[in-house]
Amino acid sequence: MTISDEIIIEKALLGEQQGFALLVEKYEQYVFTLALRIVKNREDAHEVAQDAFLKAFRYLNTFRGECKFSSWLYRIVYSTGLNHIRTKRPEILSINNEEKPVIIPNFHTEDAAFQMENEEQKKLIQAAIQELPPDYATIITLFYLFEQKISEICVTMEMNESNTKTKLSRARQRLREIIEKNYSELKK
Amino acid sequence: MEKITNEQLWDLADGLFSDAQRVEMEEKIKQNSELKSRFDTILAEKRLFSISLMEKPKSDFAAQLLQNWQEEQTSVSTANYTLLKVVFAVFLLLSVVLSGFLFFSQSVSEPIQVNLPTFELPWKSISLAITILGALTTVAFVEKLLEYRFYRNFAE
Repeated sequence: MTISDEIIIEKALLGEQQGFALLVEKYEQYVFTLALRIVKNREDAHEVAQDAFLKAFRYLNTFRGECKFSSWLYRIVYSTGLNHIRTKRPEILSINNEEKPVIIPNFHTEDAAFQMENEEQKKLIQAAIQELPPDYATIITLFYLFEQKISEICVTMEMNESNTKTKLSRARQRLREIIEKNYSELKK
Repeated sequence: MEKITNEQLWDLADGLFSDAQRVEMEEKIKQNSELKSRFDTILAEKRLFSISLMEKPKSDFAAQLLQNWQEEQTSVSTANYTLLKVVFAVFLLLSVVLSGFLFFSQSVSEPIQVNLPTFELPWKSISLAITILGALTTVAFVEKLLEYRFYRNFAE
């Protein structure tokens, strides 16, 4: 049986250590994955994930439940991650984020990545996401991996619905380009 | 006939359309084999995007985090306790001085002349120090307030 976030938060606010432990248990993989997508390095991701959880615990009493707890938490991870790379690894921010016109690649089911083994596919996708700028990597992770709704991503990334959809579309196109490029290099 | 773009097909695959738009689009796809083939390709790509794995942090991540949290709470409560002790000490000191003064003024039947020593205080330096201290306290307070509002806004 899974306990709802509301009950866990209530326990934590009452000062019960078990409440905090349950929050960590439930969200540690999500928080760490998102942090890793943003900062692109496991050591830094650990630091960001720890910082984000501590901030969330510190300000848990200000969470009013008007959005999902996960969106609130991911927003803290996103801002902590961006602050981290601004101060410690600014080179990540310079990953090409240009909105160039996209040529839809020849990406048919009968060829390319779809023919590969599942493990290879996963590696290809992971590597491609690593090459994305932090905001694109975040939106792809939230939408396709965490299965968040557009309205929830709006809260996490502090954008309106139309900008969120545009960014998602651009991130998707960029990801496809990278996959296509990496796959053709792999074949050589 | 209106041309349906790949972006529209992606929006359909991602569930971004309203129910009415979705039904209309699905009907068009059913009737057009080329459209159906494009949509199948997009669905396959979408599946590919969703297969990336969740990452696992170090095995001691949770233990380390909870320990850090406990330490932070302990240091906060120690700081609060110290502050409480300081406030109590100041209150006690003021009470003693005030009671002594009241007791002294009540205990003497006739007013007595007390010659207090006169000395010069560096008032300029004192007022400068107070001003700096006040400014620093205000900056620290505003910073804390902004930080608090930042996280509070998350829930709004």
